Amino acid sequence: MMGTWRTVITIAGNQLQRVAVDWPTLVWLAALPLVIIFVLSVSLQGMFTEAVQPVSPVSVVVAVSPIGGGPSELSGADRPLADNWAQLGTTRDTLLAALAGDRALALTPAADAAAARQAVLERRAAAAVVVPAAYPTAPVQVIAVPGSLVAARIAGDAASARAQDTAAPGGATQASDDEARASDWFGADAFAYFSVMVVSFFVLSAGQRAMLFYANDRLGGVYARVRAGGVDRRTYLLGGLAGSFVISVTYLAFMSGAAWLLFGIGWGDFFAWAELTLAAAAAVATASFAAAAAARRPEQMEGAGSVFVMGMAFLGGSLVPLPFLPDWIQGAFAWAPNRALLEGYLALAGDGSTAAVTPQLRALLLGVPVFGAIGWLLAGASGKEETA
Amino acid sequence: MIDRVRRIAAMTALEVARIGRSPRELILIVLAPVGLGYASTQFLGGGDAQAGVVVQTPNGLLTAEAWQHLRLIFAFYLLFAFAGLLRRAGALAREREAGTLQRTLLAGVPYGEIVCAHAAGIALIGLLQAAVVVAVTAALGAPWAEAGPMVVALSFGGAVCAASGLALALSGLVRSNGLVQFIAGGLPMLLAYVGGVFWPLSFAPGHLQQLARLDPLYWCMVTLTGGFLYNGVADQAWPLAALALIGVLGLVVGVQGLGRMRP
Repeated sequence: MMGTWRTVITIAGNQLQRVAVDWPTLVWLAALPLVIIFVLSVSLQGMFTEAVQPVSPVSVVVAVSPIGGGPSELSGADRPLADNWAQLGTTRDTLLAALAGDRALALTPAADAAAARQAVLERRAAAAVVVPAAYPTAPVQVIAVPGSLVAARIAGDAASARAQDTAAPGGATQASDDEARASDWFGADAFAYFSVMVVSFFVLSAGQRAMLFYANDRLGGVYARVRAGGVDRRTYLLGGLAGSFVISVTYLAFMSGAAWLLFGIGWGDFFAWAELTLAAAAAVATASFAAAAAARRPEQMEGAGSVFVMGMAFLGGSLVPLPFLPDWIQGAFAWAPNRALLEGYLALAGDGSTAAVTPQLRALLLGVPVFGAIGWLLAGASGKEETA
Repeated sequence: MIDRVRRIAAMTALEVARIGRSPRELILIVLAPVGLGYASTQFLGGGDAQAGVVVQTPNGLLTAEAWQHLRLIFAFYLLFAFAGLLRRAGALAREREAGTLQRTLLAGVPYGEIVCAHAAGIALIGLLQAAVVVAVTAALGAPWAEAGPMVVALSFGGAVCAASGLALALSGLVRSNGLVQFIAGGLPMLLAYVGGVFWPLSFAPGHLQQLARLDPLYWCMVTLTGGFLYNGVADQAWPLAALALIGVLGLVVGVQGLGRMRP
């Protein structure tokens, strides 16, 4: 029994050593994530502020259809829009005031809806707003690149104004939108959020390394020689699993330290951080083991590992930020190791304690036996194939 | 001359056939972009939806939701196209390391033909990948046909041109296959983040928006946006010129570098 554990520890130590001396792996796992954290945080800092502002006000044309039909009520006017809409005195006041009050937008009038669209098509304006005659019963039309900042801004402004015009209950105000935005990002700033997001992605890759060593050992004959030396298959697999765990723990510790040192990310209570790190490393190692065991041949392990890493990263919010994912996917994949790690580390970055990360710890610790059992069953099946 | 063309075609075909026999390459080049791209359309998109507000595309060709879906499929395609083609950049280095390149030269095949076949192989794999991604996602409901075949061809052709150029430049600059694989693993993701592939660049500070203009993936997204949301092919000319420039620069750097690496 002692001999088995000594072998497992030796294999795990050897795998950690192989990672530590392989400079491309070190650059991939350590330097590249730090560069990505920096680029993402600096690029997307605007999403974390209370009011996202573009670099300079974007040009928006506005066409307002009169209630009785005909050309825009703002047509033929060379004067600024603000002078025009003051004459309207209709229910559109709120909407136009909301748009004009948005410092991100520079409004100009358009003759009608067709002229507004043409201005966007010719790129004289980034967006157009067409207020229909039947407003607020009929929806406001925003002509812009869907998903762009300007489309989101105008849609938000128009929805708030319409909610006020129709006195609809639950109408969102700008202030409550901002609060929602802050809570979307778990109260973290850009550097904290993207540090945790990127680490939760790359730890999957780190955990996968040990499984790739196992695949390469089988292809290169190392595995056969070790087996010939008296180490049974189960011990070798257990060594790989332990190696994956040790690499993941070391990686998380290193990246936490680097994020603290370079970006000033605090990790709250040390014991809570340690508990979460150990649980996450165990869950990542067993999940990686299950993914590798799903590949029937060693040549397929790298491909299976890549699909596993990308799939888990996407579903767990490590590739695309969580606020961009729909609610149902956020709920359905809370069990994913990278997702639990992401939320747990974000809670710790906000000075959380063990109590704050209890749901994540529970998810991670539940995942360990489940992934481990799946991996062991799959590895047993491929073991029969190996023997045959 | 005909013999030369035949030899290059045979070597190119062998390079492409190698992909077909490798499950790992098939997963990374075909299955992952199609699967992740299409799956993402089921999960993401429709971020502008607000009560009482309808967002329309500038030319009205696509609905906002259809555009978000196309954009996501193209974003994942770009990620895996650049990763896949950059990985192929290591093919000559791997042959050099294994000694097969030297043996081929000893058998009398000119080095120039080998380099030519290497470049043709990369471009052909890129075109095949693009064709498969368009065909499969269109069959699953992606509205590629809405803007006409030329817009689709130019959007994907521009991406293949730039990715092939970068791959060739990498072949000519890096001697080790391991290092090529490493760069191919990380660079496309970094370019995707900087180039605004997954989210709009309008959130980024001004200097980073300017920096993105050096990024081929940024121009790929501009090509797609111009073609599908604005004035079709007419709006694709400028970004395509930028992609062609990147492709040609890569070709020149790659061929020069590979020339210096002649065994």
